[in-house]
Amino acid sequence: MPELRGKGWRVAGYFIWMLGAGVVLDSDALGAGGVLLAVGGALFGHGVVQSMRGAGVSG
Amino acid sequence: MSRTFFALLNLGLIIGAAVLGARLYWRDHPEASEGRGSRLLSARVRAWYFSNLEPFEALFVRLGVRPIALTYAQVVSSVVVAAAYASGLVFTAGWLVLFSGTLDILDGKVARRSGGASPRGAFLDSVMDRYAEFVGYAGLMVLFATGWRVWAVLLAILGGFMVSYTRARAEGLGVGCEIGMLQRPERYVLLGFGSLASSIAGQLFGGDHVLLSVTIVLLAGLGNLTALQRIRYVSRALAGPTHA
Repeated sequence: MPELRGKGWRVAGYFIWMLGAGVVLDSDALGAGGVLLAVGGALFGHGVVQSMRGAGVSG
Repeated sequence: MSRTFFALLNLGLIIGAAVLGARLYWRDHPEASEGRGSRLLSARVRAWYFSNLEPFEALFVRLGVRPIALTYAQVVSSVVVAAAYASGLVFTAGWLVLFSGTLDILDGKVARRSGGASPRGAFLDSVMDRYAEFVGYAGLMVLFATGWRVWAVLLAILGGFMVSYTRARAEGLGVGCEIGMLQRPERYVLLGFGSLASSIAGQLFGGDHVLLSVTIVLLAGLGNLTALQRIRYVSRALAGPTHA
């Protein structure tokens, strides 16, 4: 999915992180919430690294 | 790790990401201050959020996702919003409100980018928006099943529908009516972030959805005020020399 390079992965990661936060805060499913937090954080970090490697600071 | 820790961490991340994103965008796009906005959501903030969605517009167009599919997905996500509110999952519901609002933006943008924008699509989008909005509020009515807050939710529903109806009726009479402080994007943002903040505040300080209650009162008050603004504006426009 080349369209998501940089900014797209950051936004997707942030949304998934927030969903994980909701699961952790609203329920007892800490495991599932933790997985979502980890996946969201990893995608956000992936987007940041891609941006630093040439997708532009805000791109 | 305790929920208080997660609540504080998320509060910091929400504020930090918003400030950082806005600073980066405004540094790179100083021209974005132009265009339509409102007191609650300026043109710059709208442009910043739209720019964040551009990668997804391009992806959906390449994958051949039809705009109407995004519209229906928005309705489905609103049903999940209602279920989340009804179950007391306020943070998740707030996230879903923001997600649903994002789908509402994306369907129109994908339609325009793919050249598939049509009067039929615009009509279905508007109609489905009303259903989606009502369903979300229905969940809030279940959450606040007793007490004064049910009436506040009812007033918020009335305000939201009247804001849309006044614009539709005015445009049917040939008068443009995109005015008012609480249009649909503002309602999404207020309800979404109000729910997130209420959940975090509840984890930190306790209380019975205090900030969410304040948000509902704001939605009810500002929504109906916006409808009144529009009634006054259109009434004056229709009393002018061209329409009298």
